[in-house]
Amino acid sequence: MDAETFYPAFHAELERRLKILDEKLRTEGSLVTKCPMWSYAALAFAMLWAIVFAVLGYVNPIPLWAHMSFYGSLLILVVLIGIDRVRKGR
Amino acid sequence: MAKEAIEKEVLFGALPVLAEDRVYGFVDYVWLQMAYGIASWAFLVGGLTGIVLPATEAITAAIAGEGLGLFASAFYAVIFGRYGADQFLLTRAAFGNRGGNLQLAIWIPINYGWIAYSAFLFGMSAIKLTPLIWPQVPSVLATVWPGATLWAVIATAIASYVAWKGPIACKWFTRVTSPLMLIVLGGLIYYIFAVEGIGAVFARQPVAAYETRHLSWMNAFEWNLGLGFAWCYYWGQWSRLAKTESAALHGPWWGWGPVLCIAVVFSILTALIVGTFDPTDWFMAIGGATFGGIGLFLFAIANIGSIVLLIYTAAIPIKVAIPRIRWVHASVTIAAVPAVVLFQEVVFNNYAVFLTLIGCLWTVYGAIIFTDFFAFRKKKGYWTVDEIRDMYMMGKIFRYHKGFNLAAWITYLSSVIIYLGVYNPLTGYVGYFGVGFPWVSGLLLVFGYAIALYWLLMHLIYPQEVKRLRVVE
Repeated sequence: MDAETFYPAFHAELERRLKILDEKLRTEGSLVTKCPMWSYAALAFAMLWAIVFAVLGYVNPIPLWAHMSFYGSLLILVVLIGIDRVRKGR
Repeated sequence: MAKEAIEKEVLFGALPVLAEDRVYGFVDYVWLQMAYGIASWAFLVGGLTGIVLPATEAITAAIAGEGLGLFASAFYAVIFGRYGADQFLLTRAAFGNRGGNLQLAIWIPINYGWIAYSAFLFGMSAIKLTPLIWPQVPSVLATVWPGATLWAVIATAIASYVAWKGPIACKWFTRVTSPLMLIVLGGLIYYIFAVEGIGAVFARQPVAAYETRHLSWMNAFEWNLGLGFAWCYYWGQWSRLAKTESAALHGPWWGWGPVLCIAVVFSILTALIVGTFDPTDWFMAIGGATFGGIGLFLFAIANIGSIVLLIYTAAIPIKVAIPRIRWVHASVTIAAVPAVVLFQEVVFNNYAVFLTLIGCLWTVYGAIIFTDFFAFRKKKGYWTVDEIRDMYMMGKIFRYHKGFNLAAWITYLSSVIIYLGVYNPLTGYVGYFGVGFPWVSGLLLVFGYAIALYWLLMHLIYPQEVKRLRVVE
């Protein structure tokens, strides 16, 4: 497709989509369903373990309790996501 | 005709992706990112870690490195999902309109590097597998040079075809290749637990440790951190297609986080048993001709999945930069073909250098984007539609200085200089400053340095812009 045909069509479609985006941002804050806050918190919680591992690994070989707590945290996270998905019927 | 072409632009190009056009849910993302990360990067970095550290310490270095790197970028997946916009479009807000395109020009060759590792792993698998199936195979197809390179080219050609077909083909392809990767991983886990015994593996010593345990741990941490930060460039191309913000965040996070870490951990243990970092050596060593051959075959196919995703990921921002370019040129001519020059053993053997030397570039990029999004744009609700339009049109709002944000670029360049002073990626020892590594990680240091310097320079060079971003409309 030549530039004379492509760009007007491209810009028209871009404007149509930006209009929808504008409306969605004003009403719902996103084009799609927004991420719940607990979701960020759960991930941050799990990520903290990466920092714990970094500190413990740097200082000394990691103790068993830290290993077990890490896998426990991940398990809790899986359960939280599972509950959320069941609650939303997905 | 024009309408059809424009509709194709949504999945194959630059336009914002609306909710009804989104094709990826949480499960698809996990499959996708597993195909992306495990087949090549996880196995290679696990292999490297396992030849310098014993199991207990190697596992901490791997999880800490992957986790911290991923943590730095995971949250901006949501932003790309929210706007349905590509990574390198929103990059223009931080680096300037032209600066965003320059970032793309820097990143495309980096992506060739990633393609080269996956393709060469396919090649190395093929030259070991072919003689088992065809004992009289010509030596040209069974040697590292030119055999592995030729096989790598074939893998790239197949992957280019799938990437050219678009994201739905990618989705179905990864639904096939990711389970293959899980079978390979399951085989390794079975071998380690049932045949070798976990106690015996944990008692093994690495074959290529550095002089001190501390130096080994810090180098392994640096490599894993390099891989963790590597995702900084890769969120937007996929998150724009997510059906929900949660899927955009959780899918890649699980795929590149815990699932990838499991693969890294078992790669470490296998490398400790076999004594080499090259995953294609592991299968024959632990599985014999039959099971090893099957493992090698599955591993090779999984690597094609990885190449497919890398090519598609590169083709999308190319379309953003040059909207009228034909998809075949974006996905094959530019995104894939030039990578062939890197299909060489010397590149393959220097994966650690790639993760750290080139890794510095993506780490600093991630730090600047992180600061720009969350320290400056978040308060104002990120971007208005006018600002998004401006990024598409290369307009005035993000022009800064002739299209370049000086705060971002000074930070970017100075961080590279600081990094090379603290750490020498070629040797794995301290850089030209003579102090720093191994007492501090080079990548972590420059990540923090870049955040602080970018924040400071934005206030000094663009106080009006900072003031504008403080006002919530």
